[in-house]
Amino acid sequence: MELLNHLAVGASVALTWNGLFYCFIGVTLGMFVGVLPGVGPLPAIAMLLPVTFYLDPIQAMIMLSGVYYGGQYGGKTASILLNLPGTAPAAVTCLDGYPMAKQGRADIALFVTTISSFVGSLLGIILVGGFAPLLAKFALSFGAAEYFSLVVLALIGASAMGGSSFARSLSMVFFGLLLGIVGEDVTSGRERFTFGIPQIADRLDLVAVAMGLFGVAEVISTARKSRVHAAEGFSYKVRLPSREDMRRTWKPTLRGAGMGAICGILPGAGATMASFLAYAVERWVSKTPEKFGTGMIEGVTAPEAADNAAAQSSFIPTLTLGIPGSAVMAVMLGALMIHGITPTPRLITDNAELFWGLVVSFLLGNAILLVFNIPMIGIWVRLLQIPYTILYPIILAFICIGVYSINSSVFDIYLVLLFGLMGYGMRLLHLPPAPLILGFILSPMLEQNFRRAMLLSRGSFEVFVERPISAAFLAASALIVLAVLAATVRRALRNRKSIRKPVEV
Amino acid sequence: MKLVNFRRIEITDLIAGGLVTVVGLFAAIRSLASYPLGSASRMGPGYYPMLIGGVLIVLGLCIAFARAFQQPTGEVVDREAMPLGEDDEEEDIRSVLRDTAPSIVLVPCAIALFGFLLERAGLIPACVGLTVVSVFAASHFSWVRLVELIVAIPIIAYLIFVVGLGLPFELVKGWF
Repeated sequence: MELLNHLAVGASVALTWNGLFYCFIGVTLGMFVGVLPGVGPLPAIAMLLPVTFYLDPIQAMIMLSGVYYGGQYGGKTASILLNLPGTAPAAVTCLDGYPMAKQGRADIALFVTTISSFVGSLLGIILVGGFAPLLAKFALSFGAAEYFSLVVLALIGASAMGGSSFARSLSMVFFGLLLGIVGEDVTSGRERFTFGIPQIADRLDLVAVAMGLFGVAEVISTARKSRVHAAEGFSYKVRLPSREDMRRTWKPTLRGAGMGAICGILPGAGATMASFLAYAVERWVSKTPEKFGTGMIEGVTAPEAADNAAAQSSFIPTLTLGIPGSAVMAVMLGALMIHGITPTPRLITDNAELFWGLVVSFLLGNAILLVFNIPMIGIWVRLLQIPYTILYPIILAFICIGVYSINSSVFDIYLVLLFGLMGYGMRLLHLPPAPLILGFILSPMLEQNFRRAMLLSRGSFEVFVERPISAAFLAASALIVLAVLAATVRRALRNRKSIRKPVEV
Repeated sequence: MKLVNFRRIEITDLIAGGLVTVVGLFAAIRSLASYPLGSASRMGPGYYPMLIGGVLIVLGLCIAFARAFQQPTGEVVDREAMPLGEDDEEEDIRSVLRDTAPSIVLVPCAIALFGFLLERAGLIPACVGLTVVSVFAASHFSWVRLVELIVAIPIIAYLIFVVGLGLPFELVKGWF
């Protein structure tokens, strides 16, 4: 009964004309950037941030989150048809999706993955509605020490799962932490690392950092690669999957959805890891693992379900604890903070309209995406023919105007330029930008809780291990670090053995 | 005869690690020199950045030299067996630079030109300037595309930002 009341509150916000409109815009844009390889949800969300300044926070969040989960639906389209992932988590869908397309079963693959995505999303949303309030209640007891340790866990987790080398990811987390303290120190009022530039006395602008690192850097590195690739051999008619296909779909979907939903909540894991994990598990439980990679329907449905479930459930730590698990969620958190909302465990009760409005809009958005992806998929497939050479000048213009519009300051345009060049340089050196954004957003929180906890403990570092919850978070962080180190050492030893027989060229 | 499996210390590792170390040194030195450290119980503004700087120095050194310790590796190691997403260090940094050279120059120029023109000449000239410069970053040039974009971008910008969001952009203004 209580849940129904909550949902009614949410519906009163999300099912208004405005709510419907922004949800529709969000998922449409998400689908668009998801379908197109090379344009991901993160730059799209960063590009939309300036626009959301002019909306109320609920509409802004409905639209931005729509871009994110809409992108997860769209991402598989190019994976299946072109063997090019539209989004990072959809990379694994290429493995069996593209072979299916080559067998003339692209429409079946798109159909079943849409169903899987939808089921995965539903499970994720149920978890958001059911588990987030419980987690929030639990987190009410968190003090400064617990928050500090939780942020540490989130940052370490994100570095370990990011895909790049641990040292590189972690160094970018710390670089992000450093960039995050540029500006006035809240406690002492002292300006730090501002070099006397008044425009950055009040923090570096998140929009400029994110757009530069993800938007401009992406344009620089891909502008030369013309992307004209019509999807071949795809009949724009939709066939229904056979009963056999459906029979082979539902179990992987449920397994994938379950794993994805859990991955989404864990700090640092996120949608990409969820989809890779789901694929690995399907191959493991399968009676014919050798057939994976040749167009197994299990190999596309499980990752897609996992990816969408994780996309939805990753809202849980962001909205209840204010601790994002991924770069996209970090930008989402930034959007909330722009509107003066700092997510705490009290958000769900104090700002019930926002939380439940979002939950209802997730349901609505997924229903819209179901329509986009089954009856209307032909229209989206045609989008794949848009060349990147047309898109990137539009993206650049949008970035420039958007970042200027925040403060009406040309300085911010140059700041985007600077971060764009930096982001490009980081790509060259294999330094990942996503952990940087995470560190950048979480830095003030980390510092303030660190200071507060140390003040309360009169300067004793033991406070972080004396309190059990904080100790558990730190222990988990230490375990992750140890696991990474062990893997590195093992690889090094294996390599050492292998040098005994040099190879001639 | 050449032995492939003695991998030199990677140049990207050295540059990346070196830069991270330099940033760390800068942060640590500046915190120590310019901001009060305070004590562990009452931290001053310099305490936290000093810690960050210290960690960055260590991480930078790790990135630069870690491979030297797990050295001789190379082609004997089965690349397929490596975890997904392992850095593809083999990609030659110079060839990437050569491939993207035009866009490294032109994209920043386009943005800078936009910044220069926006408050002096107005939104439409700024958009046109950005478009004209940035289209040359593509691998091949097409007049049709240039004209399409010159027409389309200001219209899109006008519709979204001026009509849609009601921002007070001046479309064209006198320069002189």
